[in-house]
Amino acid sequence: MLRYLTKRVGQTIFTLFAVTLIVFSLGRLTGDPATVLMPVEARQEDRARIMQHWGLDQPLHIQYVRYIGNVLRGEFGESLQWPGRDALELVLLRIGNTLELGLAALLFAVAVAVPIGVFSAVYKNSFIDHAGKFIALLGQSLPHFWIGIVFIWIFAVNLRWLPTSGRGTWAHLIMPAVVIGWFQVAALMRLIRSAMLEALDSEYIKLARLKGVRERVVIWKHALRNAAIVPLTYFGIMIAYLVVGSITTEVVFSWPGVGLLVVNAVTARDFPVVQAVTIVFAFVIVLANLIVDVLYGVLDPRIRFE
Amino acid sequence: MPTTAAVQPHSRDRDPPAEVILDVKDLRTYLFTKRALVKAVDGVSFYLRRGETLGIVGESGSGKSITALSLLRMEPKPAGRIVAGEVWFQGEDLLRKSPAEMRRIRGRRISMILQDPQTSLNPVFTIGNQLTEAFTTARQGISRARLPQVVVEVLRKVNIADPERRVSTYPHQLSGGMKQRVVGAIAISCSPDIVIADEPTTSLDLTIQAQYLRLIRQLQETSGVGIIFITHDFGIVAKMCDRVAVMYAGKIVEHGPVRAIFNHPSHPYTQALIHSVPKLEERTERLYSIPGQPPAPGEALVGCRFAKRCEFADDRCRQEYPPVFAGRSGHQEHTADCWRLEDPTWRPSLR
Repeated sequence: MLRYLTKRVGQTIFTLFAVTLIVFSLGRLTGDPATVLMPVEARQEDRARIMQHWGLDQPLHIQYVRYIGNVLRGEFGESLQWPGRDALELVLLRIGNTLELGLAALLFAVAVAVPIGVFSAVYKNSFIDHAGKFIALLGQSLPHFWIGIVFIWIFAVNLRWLPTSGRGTWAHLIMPAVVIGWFQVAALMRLIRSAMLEALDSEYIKLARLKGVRERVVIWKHALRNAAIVPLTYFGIMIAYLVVGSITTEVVFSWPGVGLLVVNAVTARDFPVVQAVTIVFAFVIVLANLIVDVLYGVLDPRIRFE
Repeated sequence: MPTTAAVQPHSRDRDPPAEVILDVKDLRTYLFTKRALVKAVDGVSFYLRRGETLGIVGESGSGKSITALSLLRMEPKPAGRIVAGEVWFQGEDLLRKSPAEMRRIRGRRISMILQDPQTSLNPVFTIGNQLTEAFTTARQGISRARLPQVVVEVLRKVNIADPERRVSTYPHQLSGGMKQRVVGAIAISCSPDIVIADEPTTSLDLTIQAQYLRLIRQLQETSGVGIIFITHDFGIVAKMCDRVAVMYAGKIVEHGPVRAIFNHPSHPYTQALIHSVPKLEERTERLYSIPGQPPAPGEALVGCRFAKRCEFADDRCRQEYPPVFAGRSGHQEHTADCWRLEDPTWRPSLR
């Protein structure tokens, strides 16, 4: 297990380096940063001075090494949109809100998908199987922003049960979390269903029944503990989707998170902030995947004792 | 009685001797698949005496596993359904029991060893955990504090070395033979009356196989448990069983004491099966194999199931299922379903 973990941590560090390389290259591909920074009518010598000041006159690999150095020290530069504000600080101020929303969405998705997935497998081709499939498909086919707006119209405007937007109480969290989580329910539910079907068909389930174990225990203990390993693979991807989903959803619900920040930063061409967001998101996703890998070991003794 | 039984066709439905603990009568388990109705178990009758080993022999697909599972009402769902029959155990028909009552019989009174030890233990729970569950599920009234000790004892019974350490291991850390011992330990944990062993050694290599068979014999001698041994291997039958029932296409075609059947196989199929076991003392150019294929699942079956592959078959064999005749050994428990036995001088002999 320890060897497995050190290997995974090593891979994680490598992945993060690859991300910085991509972020760095993309920043250069979108055009000369000096042109972005300076007014159109700037003189040639001012331009050269700026290039020299920011090190843009150096060869690319030198620039990259400096960039890495800055990233490691947490220096992403000042925001262009809000001068004087550190880009990373702006992101870190809001990341907590986004993680809160993402976690709530994850909990919602798991809480809905696991029971439906299990019952769909146990009562295969029954009403619950088909109904579950339909509800999940609906969540996956409709875009976040549309569901978000419809939810606001139903639950906030007409029924007045929930606040329309913003962050504060539990009530504020419900709609955006459901909107982001619902999308994940479909895939997760189908994965759990197929993993459960496979587990229920196995010899060890037959042996458990032959031991006289109650059907409830057979399903929720013997089968689900095995079936849970399969959808875990999807968790890494799912967390990426939750992060992406937060962007549009935060805009719809004015949720003060990183998603809202990055949309504003992109429209304002606030490069340092966009770069900081990208790195932080990458870090969150990579970290989440690392946690998933640890969970693998916890759930599956065959990996733990390798 | 033996003389009359030898000449008159008699039925297996007659009352069996007193010490019978399991009496199966005309069991029928059909598989209702989308494509066809498969009569996997098609009117099977047999009995098991206390402490004896009954072998059920047949090719794969002959219905022997489904027969075994049906006894415990574990026929493969959703396609499988027991449509008729009686399974008498301790004065009660198991086919009339409620699911909850059946659950209390499984593992406690009748347990089962499955074929593949690699897949029959749950990979995410420890050996100790899975054994403990067998005890707690059966509510044996063992105190929580004494459970670990009881688990270690049962592991020792199946000859697992260092059982104190083994309880905390996971199935993947054990060899196939060890896993099958653990499955055996689960099966005997609650001292059942009957253990059904469904090809328990088929996936083990030969030396381990011999060890395991010895273990089963040893456990039977100490506990007096009745064993139903399902196999396709006549060699194992000869070593392990007191009586044997030969299954073909969902029916028992011949039944009797092992010695009687080996010396006087009376059904052409049994004869062919015994003939196809390679012998050490004979060096033959080619191993014998029965020509043709067993009937495909769902194939409409009229007459004797084996007629198509049988060199002695005539038109009546193909049209009408034979009644039960006395076997050629003359033993009162030896019977076979074959029209040829009408002629008392006839002997199946293969070229």
